[in-house]
Amino acid sequence: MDYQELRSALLHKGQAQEDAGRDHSFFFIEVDGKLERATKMSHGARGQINDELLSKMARQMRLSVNELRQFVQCTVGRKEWVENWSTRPGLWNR
Amino acid sequence: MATETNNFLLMRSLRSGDIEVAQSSFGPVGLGQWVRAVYSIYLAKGWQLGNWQLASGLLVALQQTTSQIVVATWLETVEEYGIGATPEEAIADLISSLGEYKESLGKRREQLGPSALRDLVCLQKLIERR
Repeated sequence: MDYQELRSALLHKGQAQEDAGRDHSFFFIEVDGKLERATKMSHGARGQINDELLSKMARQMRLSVNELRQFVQCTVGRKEWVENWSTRPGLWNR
Repeated sequence: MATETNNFLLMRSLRSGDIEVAQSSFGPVGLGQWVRAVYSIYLAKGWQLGNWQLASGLLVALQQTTSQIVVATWLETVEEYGIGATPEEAIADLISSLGEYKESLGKRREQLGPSALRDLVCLQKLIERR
């Protein structure tokens, strides 16, 4: 998976809002009418996303790496992603 | 007030024995096959980098992978990371990420959900513009 594929999936399939800062873009999704941060990307990020970063981004998005891959491949949709959001508090007491 | 130089010196002064101890504490979690080493580093209150300054201390986990350095926050709420070819670059990326994230959250405060609000509260105590 490369950065462009993930960005496209976030914006189109995930209907995420992008907010570009000086060095990074932050992606927000609407959950129960409120905005939550999905993940971020550096402006200079290009090419394939390595496993370690994919793991970090998946965790921010409250998905497993496998689910994140499925999200980009369209086998997991926005509905399932958002439905899972509230039931996955994350590892650090969220 | 801590300086960048002081903090990086601290990082570089770790002896092999210290690193071994730091790594062993991650034993049960397991290092992914792409991770060569993990260090925990404390960035002191007052740390300044670019436009940003830490308003409180920050513990980070630095992972040396086969292709780059990844630094991640060790916080109860905010899951953020920075990457770079060197520890210095990765930490700089993390700090600017935290600062920009705080400002991005601040712009939409009224619209934020519970997790994002918790992140904002945490970041307001953690980082500020210089």
